Amino acid sequence: MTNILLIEDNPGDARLIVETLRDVDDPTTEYEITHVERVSHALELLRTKDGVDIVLSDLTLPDSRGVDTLTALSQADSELPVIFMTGTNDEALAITAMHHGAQDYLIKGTIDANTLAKSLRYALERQRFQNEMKTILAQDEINRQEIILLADQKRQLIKLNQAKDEFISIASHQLRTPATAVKQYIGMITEGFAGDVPSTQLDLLQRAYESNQRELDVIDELLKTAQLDSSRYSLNLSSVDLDAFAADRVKVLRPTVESKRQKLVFQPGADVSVSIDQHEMRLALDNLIENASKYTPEGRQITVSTARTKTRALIRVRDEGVGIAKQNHKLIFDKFSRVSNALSDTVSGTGLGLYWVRRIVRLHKGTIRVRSEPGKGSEFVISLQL
Amino acid sequence: MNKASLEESAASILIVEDEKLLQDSLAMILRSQGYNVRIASDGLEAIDSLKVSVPDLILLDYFMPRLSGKEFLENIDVNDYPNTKIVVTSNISDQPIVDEMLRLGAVKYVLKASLSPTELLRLVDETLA
Repeated sequence: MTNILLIEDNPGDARLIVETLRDVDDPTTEYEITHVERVSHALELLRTKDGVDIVLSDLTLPDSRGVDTLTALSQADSELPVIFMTGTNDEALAITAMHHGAQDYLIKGTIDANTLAKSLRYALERQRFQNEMKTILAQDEINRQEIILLADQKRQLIKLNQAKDEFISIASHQLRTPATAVKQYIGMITEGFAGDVPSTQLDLLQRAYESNQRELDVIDELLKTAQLDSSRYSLNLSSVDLDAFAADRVKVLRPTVESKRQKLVFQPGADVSVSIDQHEMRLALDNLIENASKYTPEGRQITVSTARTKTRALIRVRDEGVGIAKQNHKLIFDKFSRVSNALSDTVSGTGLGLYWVRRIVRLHKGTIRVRSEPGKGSEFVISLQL
Repeated sequence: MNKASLEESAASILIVEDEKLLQDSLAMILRSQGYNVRIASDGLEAIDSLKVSVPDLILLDYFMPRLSGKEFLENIDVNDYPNTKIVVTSNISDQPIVDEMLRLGAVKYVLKASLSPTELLRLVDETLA
């Protein structure tokens, strides 16, 4: 069913249209006509009644003509197709109306059933197409706006992240200065620059000194974390023999480990060069070895070994320590995470070490895995792409 | 305690540091060993100080108002002071900054917070040696 709103002040013309439509033989639809004589009536009708599919209007009406009629109708319903009917002397006006969005115009006296049916069908189709295009374009505009919004949000987040990095960095520098002064002034007393100090007082000052030193260490750790977290941070890569690199770290750390009556053993097996940031990877490997030492009882062994597969180089740090419960295997790499185990009460730390290790390994596009069970020691494996 | 010998004590040191507390502590520690110490509160004062006398060693802070440690190095020609060693004592440890300062003519870059009085004196001794 196609509902036509006919606006025609000439009763003869109106009747002619109604009769012509009755002659239309279109199996796909039937026509229902509502006839009014003024645009004002048409607008009134559009306000109160739904379901008008198309307007068939005389170009010149007593209260409106041409483009004005079109404007008025489109204000009432912007998606309503309009076909004008005009005399031969008004064709220019009809064409102007077409330019303003009318779907078609018919010249009175030439309107037969076929012309009319075709015009109606095309007008409806075109309007439907235009409406769809409008929807697509509107959606397109929404998408565009969303893309702009997302890009903007992303920029803001990056900015915020940089501000956070800078804040930690600046705050840490600011914290370091007074703590450094404390270190130097207490140091002057404890190191004898201000005369002799009774041993009881010296002992108290020593504690203050150590506590202050701890604070400086924590500030360093926060700064290191901010640095590794910074989106602007980039590695300083160079090609290094992995076995030599690991051997060097074992050599450097062996005295500390042995002072805790543990054994530190190195088993080279990679025989390959890797592209790493030596400074950062040193920090990562040292952390793994120091961690192993922290959580391993006296008399036990820590083994550092290297290996390679076709595509990867591996560094393993295995200990015979207290081990890590399965549910904590992921947690231990989180920032500030400290999980409890048999030795955790006696071991101090901010819980940043393994976070750094993972960050550093990931910055190298490598992976870190842990294999461990309580009581059975732990093994950490850094795997780097060759 | 680290007593410098009398000859070494004659060495002159310019502390360039904006933090009053650290100016004082560094100066006290160094003077206790007989070093001849002058103080500049920023890079600009340091440039002025160089016009008056040229020290054997400059302990140069990085972050300072008016003229930073880096700007100080950029505004002097280190070749004009062949007998002056410059050690950056900073509270930032960013590698690019360290590299830049060494490139600009500093011989060492140390973290202020790592220096106890004894360590400071060892650093000075080693640098002047």
